[in-house]
Amino acid sequence: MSVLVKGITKAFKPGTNIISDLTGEFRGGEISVLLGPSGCGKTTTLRCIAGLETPTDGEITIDGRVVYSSRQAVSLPPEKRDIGMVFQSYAIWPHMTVHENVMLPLRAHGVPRDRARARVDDTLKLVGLDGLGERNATQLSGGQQQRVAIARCLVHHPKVILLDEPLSNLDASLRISMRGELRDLQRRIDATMIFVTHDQEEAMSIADEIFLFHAGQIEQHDRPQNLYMKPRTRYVAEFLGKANLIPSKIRNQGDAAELVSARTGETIAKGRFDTSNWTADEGIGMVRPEAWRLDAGSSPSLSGRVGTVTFLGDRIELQVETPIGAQRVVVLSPRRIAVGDAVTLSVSAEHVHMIGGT
Amino acid sequence: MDIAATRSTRSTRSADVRHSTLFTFLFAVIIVTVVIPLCFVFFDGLFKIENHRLTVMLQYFEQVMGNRRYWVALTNTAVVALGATVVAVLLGVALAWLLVRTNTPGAALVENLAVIPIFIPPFVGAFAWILLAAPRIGIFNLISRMLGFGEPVDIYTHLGMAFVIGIYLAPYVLMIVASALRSMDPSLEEAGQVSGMSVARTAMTITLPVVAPAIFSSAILTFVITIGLFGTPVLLGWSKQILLITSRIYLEWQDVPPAYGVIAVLSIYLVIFSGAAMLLQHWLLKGRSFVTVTGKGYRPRILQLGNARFLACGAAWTYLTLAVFAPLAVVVAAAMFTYTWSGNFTWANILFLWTSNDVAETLKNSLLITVLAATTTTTFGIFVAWVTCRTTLRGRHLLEFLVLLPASVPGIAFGIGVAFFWLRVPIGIYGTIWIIVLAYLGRYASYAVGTISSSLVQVHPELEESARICGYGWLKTLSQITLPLVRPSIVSSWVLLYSIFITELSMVTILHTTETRTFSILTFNTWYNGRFANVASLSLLQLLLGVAVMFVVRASAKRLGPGE
Ligand SMILES: Nc1ncnc2c1ncn2[C@@H]1O[C@H](COP(=O)(O)OP(=O)(O)OP(=O)(O)O)[C@@H](O)[C@H]1O
Ligand SMILES: [Mg+2]
Repeated sequence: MSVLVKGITKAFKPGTNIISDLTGEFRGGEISVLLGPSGCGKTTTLRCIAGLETPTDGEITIDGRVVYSSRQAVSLPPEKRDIGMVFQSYAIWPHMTVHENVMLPLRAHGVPRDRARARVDDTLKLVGLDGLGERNATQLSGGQQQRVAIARCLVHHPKVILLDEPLSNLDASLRISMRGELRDLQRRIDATMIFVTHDQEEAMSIADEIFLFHAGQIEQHDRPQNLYMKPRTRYVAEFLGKANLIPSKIRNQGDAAELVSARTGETIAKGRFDTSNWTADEGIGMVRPEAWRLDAGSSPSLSGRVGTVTFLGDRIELQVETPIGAQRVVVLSPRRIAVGDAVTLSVSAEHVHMIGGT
Repeated sequence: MDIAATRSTRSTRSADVRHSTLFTFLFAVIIVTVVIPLCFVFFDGLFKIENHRLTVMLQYFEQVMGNRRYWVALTNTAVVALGATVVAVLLGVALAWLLVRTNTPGAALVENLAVIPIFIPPFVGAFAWILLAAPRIGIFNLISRMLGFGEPVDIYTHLGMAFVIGIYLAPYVLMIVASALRSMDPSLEEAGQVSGMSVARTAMTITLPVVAPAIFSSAILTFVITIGLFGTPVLLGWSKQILLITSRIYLEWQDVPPAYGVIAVLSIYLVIFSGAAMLLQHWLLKGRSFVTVTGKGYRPRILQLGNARFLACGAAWTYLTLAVFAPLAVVVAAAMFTYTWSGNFTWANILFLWTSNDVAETLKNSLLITVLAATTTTTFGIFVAWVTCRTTLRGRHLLEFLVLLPASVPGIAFGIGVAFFWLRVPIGIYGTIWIIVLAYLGRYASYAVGTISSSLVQVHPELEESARICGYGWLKTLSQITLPLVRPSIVSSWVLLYSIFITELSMVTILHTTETRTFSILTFNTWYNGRFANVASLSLLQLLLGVAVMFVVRASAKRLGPGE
């Protein structure tokens, strides 16, 4: 039940492509998250899949069925695509009760009334809304409306469920608990979900696979952990989490290779490095803030001085001035560190990830 | 510390005293201009003072109930009002949908032009339609007769009245429904489609029910306005004596001596009619306002019409032609002939506007009354808006309610109440221009209050409070801080009232005397005497005074103020 998007281009005005030549496969039974900064075309992509926008070019396949193809001149309207969608505003129909809201997709698909009624009750139970069926849908709380929207899109067992920032209208704590519920629900019904968000934490916690968008294209897609640990480009490294990006070179080869700063020549780490991302013999060494170690005595190491200290409860964030530039460091252990302290930074070779470019 | 505290309590208290003095004054004004006149309508129809005792008297009700012609008037009113509502709603909803939700070319321009019919005085609109579609003299019929098709249209019928009133009220429906369509979340429809419904089925199951309350309110508004209309029904109904309640009241008022009791009962009919409509609306729409104004601008979903869009465009311009261009053209043309369609060109009717003493005199009256009334009403509106938005005085909601009350009372019935009241109070108000000014103030204060308070609620009270902390008194704060901030709304309130008052006919019909004839009365009497060529030129002047002045002031206000 996967969704295949091939070479999709969309322009609202001729000449300005909002998404251009976008290709990707959103696997069945998984949550695929479309992540990216505001205005990069996530919603547009989702709406193209739903059939609410018509692409200018390309092909979209849902579960093996071509729903849009510019070449074959196919463009199914949304109601023929057998999808469910949760809108950012929930789009709960205000003139209907909860029950009627959830019932409507079944009626639209011609399910007989008594069968439909049972299905609605089951679905409401599934999302934890049993007993609220006769409520007027607009009298519900934000979280409950959210559940109605989800129930409404699950009820006729669509092949694919599309969600456009479904949690962004909820308050912080509800957002986190709904994340878990959504995840559980997806596991239970084994649904294919495509989920849009611009919140990277939300993306990493809910996704099976993240599709990171950049200016209307997919920059990189992978499992969240891989994407975090092994970004292919500087953009990905900087978008997900925090990263120290050090322009570097490799001296020597093999197991005893040395990573040195391209600017000052200081040795940063020693060991085996994977430089397959590098196109030249120079590139960027990425060190996540939590990968730096502060113990003295390891070699090689960088001497530095603590510039700023930010206490964040469970961890401390430091800015350490070193010969190769300021480094962001996170320490978890409760230690006393003050501005101006002299420290040594070291990192093992396996925790340095190599990115092409400068 | 202590001293400061006492001083501040004392000054707060004296502010309270000042507020309640103002409040009492505003209340007194409302009592005199609204409450007592409305009471008098009911009093004269239902009660009598006999030997210093108040007794209920059903004599006039029996008289009205027992007479067939009043039943006919009642039926005519209901038929015409329903018909006009149907015409206005069909036109307004169709136009709103075409202009907001489809790719009809030039939609923005059409929507701007479509407000013009609201500002064409009902009398002028009706007169223009006589010239267009009356038997014998109507252009349509003239042309069709020449072509040998007989006379296909007759505006002097129930249908004709409903049609003319309907096309002039359609813009209200258009505006209300268009704004509902705009503030409707487009994902409501998208969700419908994604759930498996076609575009057409989504429109019927989602869009229509969601905007239904807006359509219904606009229908009620149209209905209530139609019930109270005087100029149009009289002009179009006179020739075949299709008389509505308003026309009946007018006729009875012309009798010497007028049958006050019957008039009062007919006025009560009107009040009950529109009151019932408002109650129906209140009852049916309770808690069913689906389109929440979130202030969030949605990008409406536009339906691509293909070639049908030119048809839609044509339909929209046809409407504008019927409501604006054709009437305007025909009135201009009529003013240029010696008598209707004689074919003899003349400037006489235009010159008549300069040379006639009647014109000069009535114009002077109209302008004087209008400026006085618009200024008084707007000033009153400022204070009422301020009191209801900014103070917590007890009774401010009652004040608001009383101000709003006459808005749904047909003008002619309200005028009857005002006349009855000042007839009994021998202090020389009756028969002067002041009775007209007071009637306008009472009937239309809600327009000023509405316009100004909608802008006042957007001015954060902290802006005033910080001025108070800087040492301004409340009156100085009001004049230096608050009023400048809401100035655009004050200007638009004044202009709106000006445009209503300058051509008002329903109330002055009742309240004028020979000395206080207004320009609209002169026009009406000229029509009554059958001098159509002069009516045409007088109508042109009415349009000029109303519509044109309003557009000029509006345009300059837009340049002056920070917008409405
Ligand atoms: N109907 C439209 N007409 C014209 N431009 C549009 C339309 N819809 C979206 N755009 C533009 O397309 C671009 C991408 O929009 P899109 O909604 O896909 O972004 P997004 O990635 O979902 O961003 P966000 O995180 O802010 O929701 C934006 O610059 C937007 O202004
Ligand atoms: Mg978006």
